[in-house]
Amino acid sequence: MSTNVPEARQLVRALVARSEGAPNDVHAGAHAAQSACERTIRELTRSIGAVGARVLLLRALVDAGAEYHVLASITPGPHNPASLEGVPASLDAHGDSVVAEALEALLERLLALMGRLIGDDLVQQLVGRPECSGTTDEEGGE
Amino acid sequence: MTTGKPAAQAPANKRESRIRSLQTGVPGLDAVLGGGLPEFSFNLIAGTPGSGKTTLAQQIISANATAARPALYFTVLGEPTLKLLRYQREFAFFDPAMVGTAIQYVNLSDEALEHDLGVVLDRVVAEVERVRPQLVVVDSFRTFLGPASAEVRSGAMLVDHFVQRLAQHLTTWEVTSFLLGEYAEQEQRSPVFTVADGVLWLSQVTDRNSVVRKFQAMKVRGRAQMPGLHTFRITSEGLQIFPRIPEQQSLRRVQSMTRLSTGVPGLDEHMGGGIPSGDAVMLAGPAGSGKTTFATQFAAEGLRQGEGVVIVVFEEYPEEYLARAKARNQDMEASIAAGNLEVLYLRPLDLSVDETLAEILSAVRRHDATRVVIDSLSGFEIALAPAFREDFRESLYRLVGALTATGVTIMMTTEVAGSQPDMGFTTERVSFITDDIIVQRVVEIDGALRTLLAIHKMRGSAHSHEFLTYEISATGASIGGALQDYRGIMTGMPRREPPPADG
Repeated sequence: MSTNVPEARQLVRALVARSEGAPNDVHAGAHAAQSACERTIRELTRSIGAVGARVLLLRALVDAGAEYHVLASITPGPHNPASLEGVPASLDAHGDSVVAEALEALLERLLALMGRLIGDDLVQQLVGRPECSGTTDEEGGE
Repeated sequence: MTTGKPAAQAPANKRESRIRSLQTGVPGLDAVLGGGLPEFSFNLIAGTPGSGKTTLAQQIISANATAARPALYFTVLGEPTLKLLRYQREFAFFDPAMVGTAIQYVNLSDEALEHDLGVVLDRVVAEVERVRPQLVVVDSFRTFLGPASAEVRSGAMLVDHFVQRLAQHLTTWEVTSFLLGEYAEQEQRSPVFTVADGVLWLSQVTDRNSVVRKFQAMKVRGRAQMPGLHTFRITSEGLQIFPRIPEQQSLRRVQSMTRLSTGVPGLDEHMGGGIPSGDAVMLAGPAGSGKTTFATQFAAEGLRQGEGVVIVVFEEYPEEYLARAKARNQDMEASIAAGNLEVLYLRPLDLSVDETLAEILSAVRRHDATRVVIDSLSGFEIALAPAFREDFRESLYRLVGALTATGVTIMMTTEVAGSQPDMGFTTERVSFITDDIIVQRVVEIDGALRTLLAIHKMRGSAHSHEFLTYEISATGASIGGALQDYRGIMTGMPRREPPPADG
């Protein structure tokens, strides 16, 4: 399978753009990235299962955490689909742009890892289509 | 009733069924199922691990699902979606663009771990109501049946209730569904087998160094499926099933009055003008007697007459075969380029007769062939998986019957031991299958080896009963005169016995 980091980066940009929130949010960048991550995890939880989505997230956290130390304080929540815990505290400590960049890197590592396993085209099909709101926010609970 | 692509079609039975059929997209499967899968049926795809259950289901949904009428593919504990996608995308039928749209994957691991089938059922029904699929697959069904059936807890749903309710829900939602499960032969009394409208059984048998895969449509409600075990192969294209009883066999052969030239100068007149069209001819002789030369001339003659020809070789590569033909002035490359000739090479050592037949019939159709050469039966027998060699004669009978039913004329070569004093070719015990038999012999006469042949049998046709000499030169084989005044020719050491002088 291909390891197309630019494809993953492009997909991250699209997912984050879809998640952009209120313009007056001082942490808009980080919140959009967090939302993109959690929506992706929700989508994956539906298609590949909670365990599969969680292990992908954990591996991506390890990979991205080596470069973005701010991710050391961000962990998957105990419930499924996994949410990201520790984001508010990280924002207080590091600010929006640092956290936003780290979360985007986390999502990029996750998508690139999936791309290596199943191909970038299938990653796009599973999580990148605009209609990938199949798992809507209200379904996102346990 | 409407379905996705391709449009559901009525089965090819004489009496038209009211239940429409889904074309499976699996070569050979629709014929085995009696025309396709009944729409809205609840099916079990069962078999041992690695037998091809997931690939079969994927192939069927890939052929039928659309974005408007998608397939819902439920994965459970045994088949992680990522692994499934990683490996299934290697198949030619897999279309990445269908993932997430025409084929939607839903994982049921969390529900399965609840150990309550009611929770599983609720999730399946909720997804079906939301997506409105035309096809549903649960892969693998058994992974949540195991713990639930072993531990019947208060309030938990029993397996047979679960299966019945699942079947009712899916049929009510007009879904054609497939449960995939690993089952052993002795488990066929499971309630799933009773409830299922269709039971498709896949198995693989290891015999010495070969593996033979077999498919059985154990049950197909509302369809007259083909009984018995059918071999199948999994290639990069997916599954291909080789129906055991070819459709052509049901057709009665019409004896033709047309005769085909053998292409061997001097031979036709000893065969009543040539080989009756549609006959199966066996050419039996020892090594080096020129069997392949005769067969090649038979093929080349067909090409000269503008006929389509298929040559099936087992003992050498097509390039070698064609080079040898060219060396004898039979340049066949142009005929291949023109689409009149195909040289089929079948030598995998795990062939089934049905697969061989399917390959030959397919080539015959491709080239509208009227002549088929099988060179040789001895090589064919070796190419078969050991399990099929045991019933070679019966298998060959079916193969020849199915081929001649299409109207082609077959020439088969077979090797016999040159020194055998009896009719050695009968040791193959296949001569009853053929209409005509030509026997070649190499004998010593006056200290030199001579090649002879005899027309041993021509069904329903007058023919020469003499021993005919023949020569094989640089340009091929040609018949000489009859060998007279000799006795004991079949021993290989004939004695000259001139006829008694008159008076």
